[in-house]
Amino acid sequence: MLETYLTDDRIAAVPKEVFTTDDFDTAFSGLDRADALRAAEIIFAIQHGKALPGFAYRPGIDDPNDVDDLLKATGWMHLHFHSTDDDWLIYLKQFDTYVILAGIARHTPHFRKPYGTELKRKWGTKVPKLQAKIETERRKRASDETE
Amino acid sequence: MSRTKIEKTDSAPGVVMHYATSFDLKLSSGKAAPKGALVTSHKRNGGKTVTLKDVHADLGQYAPELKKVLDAVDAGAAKLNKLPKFDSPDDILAHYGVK
Repeated sequence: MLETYLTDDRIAAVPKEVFTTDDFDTAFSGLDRADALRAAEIIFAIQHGKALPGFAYRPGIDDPNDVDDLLKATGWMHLHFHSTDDDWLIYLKQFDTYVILAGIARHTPHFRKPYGTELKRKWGTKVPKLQAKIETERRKRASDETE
Repeated sequence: MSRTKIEKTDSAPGVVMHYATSFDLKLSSGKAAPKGALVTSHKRNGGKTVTLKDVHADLGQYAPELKKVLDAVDAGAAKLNKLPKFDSPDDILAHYGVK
């Protein structure tokens, strides 16, 4: 059974493996160096179980009235480079022991209702397939280790 | 319709099963798989052969999960893009060719 994605507002501060879609291979190409460094700091923090830099989260994250409807409805998490409504965001799904970085894309289209439609179009097939592959490989590795 | 050849092992070594998109699991002998069979793990042996490690009850509940796994096997193209553990953010920039 595949792991269920998390809908926590923050990335848990425990080391997580980082997987990416093939789209992410070129995700940095549209960023200036400052934003690329922020993306790298986010990835580094996830891998090493450190709290993400403050700029990664939206300003109202601790306001109970400021709900991330996209995350709660679909599991799609987004991380910022500047806290506010950035031009570019990292889109990902978080699981207990790993994250899947889908890509870096512009902000606005992904928050049109119904939530998640655009993300589903872009990565709705790739991410589940990658998740299946990840968990299949993990089971295989665990099985091989017990044989 | 293309089908993935699935070989079930452990509890019934050598039994070959096929799946259809309806999750109508059938044994190669022609007998229907136990209603509610669930694949919890499998080994890929190359090509389109998959060795199932465990088959349990309650397929209906988990059929979508099984479909995801088998779709990925069928696609055969879901690359496992795992990032190496980097020593610094600068290493990540270098990995992505950012100067």
